[in-house]
Amino acid sequence: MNLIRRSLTNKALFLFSVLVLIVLMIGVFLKRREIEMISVNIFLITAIGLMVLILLLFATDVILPLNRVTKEIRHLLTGKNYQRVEPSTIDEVGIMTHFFNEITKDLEKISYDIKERRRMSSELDIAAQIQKDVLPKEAPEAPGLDIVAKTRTASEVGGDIFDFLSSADNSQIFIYIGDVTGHGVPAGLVMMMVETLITAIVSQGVLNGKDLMLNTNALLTPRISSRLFMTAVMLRWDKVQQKMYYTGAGHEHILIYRAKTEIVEMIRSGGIALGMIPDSAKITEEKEIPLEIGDAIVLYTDGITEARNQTDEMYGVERLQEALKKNGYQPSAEGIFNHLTTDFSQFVGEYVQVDDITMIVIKNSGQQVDTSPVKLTISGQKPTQSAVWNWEE
Amino acid sequence: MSDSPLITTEVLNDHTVIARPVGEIDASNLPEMENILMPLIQNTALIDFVLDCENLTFIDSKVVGYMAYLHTTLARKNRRLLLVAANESVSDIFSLVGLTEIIPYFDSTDLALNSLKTISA
Repeated sequence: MNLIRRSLTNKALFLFSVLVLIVLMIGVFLKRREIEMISVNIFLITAIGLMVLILLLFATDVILPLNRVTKEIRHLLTGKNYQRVEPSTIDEVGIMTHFFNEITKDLEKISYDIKERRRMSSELDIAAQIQKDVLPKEAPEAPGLDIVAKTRTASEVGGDIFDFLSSADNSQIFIYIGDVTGHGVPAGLVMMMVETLITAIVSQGVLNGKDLMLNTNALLTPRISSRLFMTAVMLRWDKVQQKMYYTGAGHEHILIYRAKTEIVEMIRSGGIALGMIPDSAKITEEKEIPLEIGDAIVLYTDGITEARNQTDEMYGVERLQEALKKNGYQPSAEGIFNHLTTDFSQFVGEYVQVDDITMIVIKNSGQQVDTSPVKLTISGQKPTQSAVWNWEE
Repeated sequence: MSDSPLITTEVLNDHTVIARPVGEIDASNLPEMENILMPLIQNTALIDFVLDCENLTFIDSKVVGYMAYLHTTLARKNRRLLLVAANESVSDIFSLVGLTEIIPYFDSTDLALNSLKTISA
């Protein structure tokens, strides 16, 4: 019986066989009763009755289910509301009905996913905008310093940060760069926490980098997972004494170009990353960076030094150091920045950016320099691939 | 893709594990390393974890974050994590981030194991 139910061909053959069998049985019946002749009317009525019966069977089992599913398919194709069709047979029509149900179920899931992705993308755009808004729009008024800083995220939301803050009494300028573990939304949230904490602590009247970093760390550590942390370097420019100080929190090396000797010093930032231990007082120190006119400081995140080229080679701090050595003589921070970027760009070529990238160049010009606008780019609807690496993408 | 394991582990006695990560470990293959170490961390009979980094050639900040997490998790239960013999670039990352300020670092596995004996004694 299953064999008949499973195939339209078998069904048709079965019904044809039934018809033939009935005709034969009638023939046998008439023969046994020795009925030689029957009226044409009785023959026609019987034949039509049989045909109608078979047609009804065929319609119930094949045509009606087929009509139901084709109607819903038509609705689907023309964009009208469609409904799930309950399969009533297990033949080809039943298979087609089941297929229709599965396809529409998948379509509903895809449609939901698309809507959800649009919603998330829209929220990420808002998050990216909020993050962009907290970054400084221009360098502060820092007599004697020429500053350029740029950042580019690997995705919509990044974990790199830099900022320039004036102390409450306006005697100090804090310049910092930070890099949260990984990138994306979790890193972005920690970055926003740190930025908020640092801004609040500076506004409370803190006047040195060490206290600023210790307080930030003490407030941050209990609020984030032990897997997350932020490395940072906090520079403090004493506007009155024209002296630069640094406090490290487990960040990359600080590069210093010495104009007089044309060499590049590489000093460890020291300290421990923010968020790793609740009290970092024993490890954290603020030290002076003696600066002469023409000297330049370069701060960067590991997105630069760990960037790879097509042969999977890392850019590395040594290349950055070498590029600074060649270009540190440039008269402006912008000039140095552009040359470092060119060197980086030529190295990475068509490298796909996988981490956030940030760099700050500070030139001790020894004179008042107009504040330079800090160009910001929050890129990254998708990982960027370009023949020439560019901050503005 | 290399077929060699990302990390091998050896249980030295009833309470000491030596884990040897190999090659480059970053955000992409860190979960694999975590999966291997997870049952060992959950086994509270194991007290001392020696992470022998001799054959580790690269780590990123996610891995540093995991090591800090590992240290914190173990330390909460009076268990220990020791770092051993990283090459120059990896030990540079350890010290730059300040990891060696919170996790004891040794030049060789023997030195690390000896230090454990001293602590136990």
